Amino acid sequence: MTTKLTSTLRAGVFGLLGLVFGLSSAAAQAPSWIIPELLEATKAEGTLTIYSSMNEQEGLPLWKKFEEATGIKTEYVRANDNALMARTAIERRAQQRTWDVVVSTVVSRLPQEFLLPIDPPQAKQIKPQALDPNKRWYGVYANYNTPAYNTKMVKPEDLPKSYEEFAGKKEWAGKVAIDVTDAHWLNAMYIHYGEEKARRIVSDIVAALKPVTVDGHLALARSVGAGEYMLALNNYASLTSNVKLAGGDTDYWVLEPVALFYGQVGVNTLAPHPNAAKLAANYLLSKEAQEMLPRAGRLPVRADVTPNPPDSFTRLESKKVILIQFSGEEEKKWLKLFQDLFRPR
Amino acid sequence: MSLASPSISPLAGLPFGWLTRLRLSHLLLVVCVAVVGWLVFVPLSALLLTAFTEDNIYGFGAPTFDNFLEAYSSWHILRLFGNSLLFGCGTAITALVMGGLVAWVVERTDAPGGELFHSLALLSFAVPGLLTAMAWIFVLSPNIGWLNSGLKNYFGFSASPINIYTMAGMIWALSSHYFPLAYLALGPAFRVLDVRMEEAGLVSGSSYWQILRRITFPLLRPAILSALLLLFILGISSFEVPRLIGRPGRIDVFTTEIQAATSGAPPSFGIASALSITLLLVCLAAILFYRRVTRDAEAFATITGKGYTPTRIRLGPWRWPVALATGLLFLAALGFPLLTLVWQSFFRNLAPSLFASDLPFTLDNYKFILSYPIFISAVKTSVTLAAMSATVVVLLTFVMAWIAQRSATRYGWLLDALAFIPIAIPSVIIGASVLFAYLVVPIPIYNTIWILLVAYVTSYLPYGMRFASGGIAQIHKELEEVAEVAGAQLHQIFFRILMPLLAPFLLAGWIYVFVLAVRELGASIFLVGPGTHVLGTISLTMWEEGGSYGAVSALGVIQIIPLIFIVAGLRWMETRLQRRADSSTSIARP
Repeated sequence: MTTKLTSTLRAGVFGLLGLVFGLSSAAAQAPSWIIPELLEATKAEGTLTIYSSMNEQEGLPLWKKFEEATGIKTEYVRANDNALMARTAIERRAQQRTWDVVVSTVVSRLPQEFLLPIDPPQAKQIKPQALDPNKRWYGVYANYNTPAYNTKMVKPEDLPKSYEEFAGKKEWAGKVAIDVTDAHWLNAMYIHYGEEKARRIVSDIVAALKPVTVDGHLALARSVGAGEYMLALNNYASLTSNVKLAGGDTDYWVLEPVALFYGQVGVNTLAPHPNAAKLAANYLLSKEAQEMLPRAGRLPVRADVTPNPPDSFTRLESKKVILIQFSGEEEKKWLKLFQDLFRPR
Repeated sequence: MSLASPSISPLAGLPFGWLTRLRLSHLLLVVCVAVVGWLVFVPLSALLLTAFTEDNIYGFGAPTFDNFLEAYSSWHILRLFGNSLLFGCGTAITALVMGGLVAWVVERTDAPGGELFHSLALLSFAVPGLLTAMAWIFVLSPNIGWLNSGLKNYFGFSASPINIYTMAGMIWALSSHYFPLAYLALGPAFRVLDVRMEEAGLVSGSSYWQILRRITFPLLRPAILSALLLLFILGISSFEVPRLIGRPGRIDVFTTEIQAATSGAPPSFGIASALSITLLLVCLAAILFYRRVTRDAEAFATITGKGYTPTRIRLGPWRWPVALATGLLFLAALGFPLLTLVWQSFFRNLAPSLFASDLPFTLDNYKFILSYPIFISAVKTSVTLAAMSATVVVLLTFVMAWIAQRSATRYGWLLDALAFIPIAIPSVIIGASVLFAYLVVPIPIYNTIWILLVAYVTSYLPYGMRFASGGIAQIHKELEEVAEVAGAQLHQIFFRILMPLLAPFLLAGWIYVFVLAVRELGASIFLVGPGTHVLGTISLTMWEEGGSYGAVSALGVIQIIPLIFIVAGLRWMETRLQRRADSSTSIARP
């Protein structure tokens, strides 16, 4: 009888312990970004369609985690930023419910009517400047703009200490390049130096160095890493890091001003799966998702996630950072100004 | 002797008693024209509408000429126009001369290596234009080009002797990519050229130069002009070489400007369309010119009911030197960029010199591409789409070309122009218009392989048309007339006479469209959906988003390998078809 009681008690205690541990481990495994009431609705919707400019090597593993946690199927369509903008516009013209969530640097340039205001709980953890005041988009990764150089062709001590010094480096004429669409950088220069001075600095650089305008920021980073150009007057720090991590002979250095803009996430007002889209936006801002971004050199928006290389933020934010968020019309205006300065007709 | 053939025409005799004469085959012809008309209408209407309305992200805005004012109000446009013409003409002539020489060697002489040259020519198309341009930078850049570096070291030059970032560099880079097309377009015409006409000239005491000038060239005129037209238009509408080589060299052309307009956020489709209209007008003018100089088409027909003898010229001791010279041409034009791509694919960043002491070889790029999440499914989709597109394009353009040259000859130029229009419409506009059209029209093909097929067929109609037109011009209509007199129906004339004789031309067109479609990019950007990724969009992703030079090169190399087998199989089929065509014409010989 005693033995039976003891074994019953033991079984009860072990059962209780198992339940406690089981529950606590389940709680530990539940991702921080899951919102239970949204999860149920998400499961009912079944799928999520993502438009993104991230390559599939980065994007698919990121969304696989979302699939595993929610049990819903994700459909991933990758295109470059401009193509995504055009595609979403065309689909809107046809009033079609095609995509749920978009991740790109052009989200903030989409018309307000395209984007559903959302309030993801994880947004409390991201940098304040990475939030749209109207809650229609949230920053997912950061693009800091800095110059870059080929480490075999240029000594660090020869690098200019400011943009004004560039024009004095006449020996670099024809060996300096810049992306043909770097309007964000130009805008930051105008804000930092004032219109007149900024125009003079840029005009002097153009006259003295005759910068080559190339098409594509990654192409530019690769070219500098390969020695086709000695320097990039401006590029995204994350892409320079990307080429450096792959063994390229390149690095960036930081000059004032540092133009900053974000790759953002937004939810479609015509989303066929709106609950899944809201949960997906919350997921992208979570620590779990943000920790996956630095693997390819992307810079996260959460302060509690270490970038790659770890000193990135220390270096980049050692100088004045100017946040640039263009509307579509502003982008056109600044692109035209950039063209006028760098490719005079 | 030529007999009138009024009843062959599906349009002749309308509207009197047409119902009694209407047959299924005639209906099919009408359907073909209607399908092509619809395919072309979608992008053309979008082009015109966007050009003449306000750029508005929500839809077409109010009517306006602002897009034209913005696009054409600067003197810069004249420079663009001049550069585009120079680039187009330079590329057309250079590629034609190179391709013509190869076609002559392979098809008209007994020099060895013909099969190899033919296969190499086809394979060259497999490499996307973007990668070819990139490879030429690795070869001929003044800063990192290995050939320049070698020349500097060997000859002691202080500066790089060759600069790819010039107009000549652009023409060379594009010609090296397109000369196999000239070969493909001219090859069948050389093949069916009746050598007895030249022999007759020799017997009459003419010199080789006189024979070439007065017999060979005139007989080849439709094929030469057809190829020239195609190459010229491909030249002025090409985008990759101006983007990678022209832009750093500050040489802007129309396509650079169009690309700049479409790559804004939001894109300026209105300005791009306004600029494209100039391209369209230039293309239409070129087609009219072509029609005018080849209007007496029968004079160029070498396949007649009297039989022809496609004999090869015996080179004797010159066989091997001629083959070697052709091999060197291939080495210079294709070997350098392709071998550079292969070499580059074993390194992550810029490949070191071949003679470097420490070579950090790696297979990581291949592992990266082969393990890329959607790579295998993209290969399957691309190959399937390419085969379907090539088949549809060849069938449609065969019918269109026949109607244009044999049936409705009075309106032939219109059909020719209709099928040719898409070549002047930027592929992104074709993609965008197809996307919009099939979202609005209740045909449920959005996000499926079929919407890509529609865009591909539209994009490649002009190429199919050139191959089919060149072929039909080479066949005298007396063969069809005789068959009709003997009581053959239209479908019998098509399948038992024209198809076998045209098979080499059609297969050449099929192969060309297939290889182009495998790597299509511009239209696909807007039309790929979940599960319908294609190789072209992966190439672009590699270029734009995270692929190293090595990975991009490895992708190019990987694309070539399956095509080696496909092209070998197609070549085997082409040879069989050629033999069958030869034997069928030999029956007709007196």
